[in-house]
Amino acid sequence: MDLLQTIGGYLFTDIRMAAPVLLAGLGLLLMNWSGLLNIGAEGTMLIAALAAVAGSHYFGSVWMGLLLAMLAGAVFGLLFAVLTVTLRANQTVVGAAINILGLSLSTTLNRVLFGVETTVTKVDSFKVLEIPLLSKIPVIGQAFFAQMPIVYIAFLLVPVMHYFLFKTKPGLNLRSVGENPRVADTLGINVYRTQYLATIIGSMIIAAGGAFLSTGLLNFFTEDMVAGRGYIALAAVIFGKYKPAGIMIAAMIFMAGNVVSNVLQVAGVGIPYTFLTMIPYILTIVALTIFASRAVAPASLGKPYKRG
Amino acid sequence: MKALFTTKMKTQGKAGAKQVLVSFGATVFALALGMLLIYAIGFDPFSAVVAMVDGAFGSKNAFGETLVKMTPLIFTGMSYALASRCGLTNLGMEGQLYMGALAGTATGVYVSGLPAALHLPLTILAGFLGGALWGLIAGALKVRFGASEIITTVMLNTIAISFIDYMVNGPMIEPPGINCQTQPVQSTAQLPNLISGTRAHWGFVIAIVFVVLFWLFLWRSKRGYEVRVAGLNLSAARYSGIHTDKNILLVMFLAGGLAGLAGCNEILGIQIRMIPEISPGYGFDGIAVSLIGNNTPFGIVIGALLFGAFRAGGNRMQIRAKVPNAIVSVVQALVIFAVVASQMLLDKWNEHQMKKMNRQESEVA
Amino acid sequence: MKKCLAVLLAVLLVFGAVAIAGCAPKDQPDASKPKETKAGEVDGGEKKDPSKMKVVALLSGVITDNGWNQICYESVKNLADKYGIAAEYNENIAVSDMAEYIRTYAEEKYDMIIVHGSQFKASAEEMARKYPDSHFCLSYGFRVDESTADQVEDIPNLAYVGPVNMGVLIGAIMGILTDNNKVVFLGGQDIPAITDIVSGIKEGVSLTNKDAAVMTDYLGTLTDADLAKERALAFIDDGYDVISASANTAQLGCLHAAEERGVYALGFNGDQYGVAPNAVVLSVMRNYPAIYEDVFLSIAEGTWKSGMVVYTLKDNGTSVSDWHGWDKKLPKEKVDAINDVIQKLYKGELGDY
Repeated sequence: MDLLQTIGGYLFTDIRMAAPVLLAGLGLLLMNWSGLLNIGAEGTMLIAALAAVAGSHYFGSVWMGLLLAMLAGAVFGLLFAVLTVTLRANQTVVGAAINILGLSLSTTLNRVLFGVETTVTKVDSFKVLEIPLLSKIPVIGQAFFAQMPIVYIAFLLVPVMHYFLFKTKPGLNLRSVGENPRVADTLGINVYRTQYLATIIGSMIIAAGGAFLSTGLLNFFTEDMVAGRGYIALAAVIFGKYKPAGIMIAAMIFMAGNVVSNVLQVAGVGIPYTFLTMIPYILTIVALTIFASRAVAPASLGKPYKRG
Repeated sequence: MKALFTTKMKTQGKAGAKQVLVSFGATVFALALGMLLIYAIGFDPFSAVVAMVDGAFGSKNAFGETLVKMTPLIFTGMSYALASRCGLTNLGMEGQLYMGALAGTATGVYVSGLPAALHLPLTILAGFLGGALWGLIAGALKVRFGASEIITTVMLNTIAISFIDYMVNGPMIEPPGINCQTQPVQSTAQLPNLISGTRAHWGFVIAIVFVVLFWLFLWRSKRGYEVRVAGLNLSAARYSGIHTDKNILLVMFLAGGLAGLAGCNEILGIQIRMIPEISPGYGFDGIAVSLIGNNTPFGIVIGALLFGAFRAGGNRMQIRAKVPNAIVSVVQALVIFAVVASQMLLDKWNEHQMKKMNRQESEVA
Repeated sequence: MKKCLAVLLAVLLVFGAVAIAGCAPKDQPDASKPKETKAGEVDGGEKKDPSKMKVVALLSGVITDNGWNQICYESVKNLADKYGIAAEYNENIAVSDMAEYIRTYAEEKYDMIIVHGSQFKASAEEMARKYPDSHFCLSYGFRVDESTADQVEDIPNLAYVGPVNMGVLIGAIMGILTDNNKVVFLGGQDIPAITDIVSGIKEGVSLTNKDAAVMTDYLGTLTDADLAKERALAFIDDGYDVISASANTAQLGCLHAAEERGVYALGFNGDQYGVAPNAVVLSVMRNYPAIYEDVFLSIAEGTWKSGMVVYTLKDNGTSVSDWHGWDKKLPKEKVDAINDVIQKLYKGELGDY
């Protein structure tokens, strides 16, 4: 029983840590299916993390913070879309620049908004929402039904996104744009509009992941707090074979790497911490090598589309 | 098929010069935007720009600093450009730079008893190999498993940096083990000073030599031609019998080596010893450098000059105008946006002109 | 009544300690460490007007990091407030750029250049030799003993400045606070300024609690507060009931974890009561504002010392925050014990810290 309880605890932590990566992965998925490769999730999450704290601070509600974060995400998404869809610029380069912008702009704005204080600005944050009865299920009850609302949202988005992408007409249209924009165009689908929408909505979902980092587990913004999760989300999409459920599993496996680091350190086994830091990244590479060849990327991923 | 590629490449070369010029204009535009931002958060934009130009070119010392910053940027710029010419996206310059620096430091510290004429080249070779092997990992993962190099290179960055933290704090720490740094490299492995009174060192000359080698490889060798063909269209290259897998491995090896030299030269010319955080982001700047240089040898030198001046001038801007230097990064991002946008607008304009000419020609006929 | 008894007991203890110390055999080799390992040189005795001195702090990170860099910023701000000079600083300086920053200020004959971080040691030493007219302070801060002594270069205008033995103080408080006899301290990275604290924790805990199990390790991040919180939760769930950390902004995650689980925490590097008011009992701070004021005045008065200039607990190198009402919330014997051990450490009664 004790062992089961411990495992339940690990699962609880794993799910909570996976949520931001899952959100970022789902946002990227939407873009990827429209044929766009955006490596700028890291920068988008950072600016969103700051916007969430700012919104929560000025409007006194964590949900307003989430809204502001998603708006900031939408602006970053629009920037990406203008440059890569309309101007057909190299998507990787624009994504890399978005990462630089997200890091430096969030640092600068943090200073402008909150000044130099010894104490960080604390704001309203997400509270745990226990679901009655279900959260009393032994072992898994707490892990699945005693989380923060945004964690539920992240995991509920998985079936929603799956349904949208694979069972609805707009989802089919989106995928056909990613597979072959020329054919989609001749079928009367507005390729550019689809890509713009996918980028903006996708960036908003990524931004929700960023908001979780600053107002979910914590209630303040600190510089560079995303710490590589945006890149891990990129890998989660490939590892998840471009399917929402796959991304969910991928995010949970990667974050299990962090749970393992926690367990190893608490147990005091004496592995140098620098190696513990590497675990999630090495796990990502290993997962990629195993699954990359089997993952079927949208055929036109990363290629700019030119009409006519 | 071959003829088509050749013409495509030739037009690319001619447009190159024009694009560098347009990029320069876009940079000025982005700088103006940056000034606006500096003004918006409450600093004096005019004194900021004066300080920036002064810090980059205002004195012999300032110019020396610009050269110091240029040197690693030329290498990382070439690294990104080389991979890019082959259709690969190498985002792992930062990690390759660190591994090159580590290998160079190890050779510079632990190999002893050699004259400088042997020790220095050996150390530089080690630096190249350190980065090259780290780059080769990403290449091998792509060829063998189909793992996207965009992701593996990023992951390898974090792993490399953690590994360096470990080495510098552990096996390679300077006795008795207080400061997290290695011993200094021996004097026989240090790069001599280039301009007295400044920090500019011979690494700059080595960088220029490699720019020439870069040009010779891509435009004067058969293998280089294959690489460029593969970059234009990977599947078409495969059809015409080019061993693309072999080329991917070669290019990731060479690109990693170039980035490794950036780190190794920084150690041998400036730092003398390995410490964590030797690179303030030279690896990521390489993307912007090659972008501004349009992946051409001359353009890369210009791009490195621009971003080197940015870094040197940015320091002075913080000192003189008190502008927090996170702004410098914001401006750098703006430069990248402006440059890609301008290049694409130029493309569109060229197309438009082409269409117009075609129309006129058909009317004449 | 109880209070009187406690005071009496404390007095007795002090007397006992003194008596034991007094009776200790004198022929043992003196273990106490030299405070300045290199002969401190006095800078000519030339006096300066403090309000006309030029001071700058050169920082590796941003002044809003709630830690290492912020405390240095507060040091120059303290000088600015008290002596009417300008609070000058530069942020985010890369190791490869530091020499250039130093050169700029040295050429303008700044009186006091604070180079904040041991990673800049080589740059500071190189530039101090080149510019003998400026006084350089390399913020360092670790224990001085035979092995570290030869790490210090003998340059007359360079001082290696920092508080030492902070870890002992933190550990001593942690040892009193714990009920489960399990305490944990997490460093951000294995760098000298943090390692020195980590290395003192065990010694400090053993001063007040011989039975407590002490865990010290590193988070591997200075920015990822979410990861730090999860790591801290893992420790707390394993029974650790006092936690403290030194990892810039990431450590705030650890304080958060303590708040969530209802265990004790100690703030570090700033008064962090506000981050987690139900967990942070006290905050322990590097007293760089006082330290650099001391150094600043020594330059002004011509009593500057070079070499290793360490500030022990006795020298007021470390400061402790206000109780913020925790002295009413905690069991009285713990409050008294903590007050007592702090006093004793400051007076040097528990050893040469």
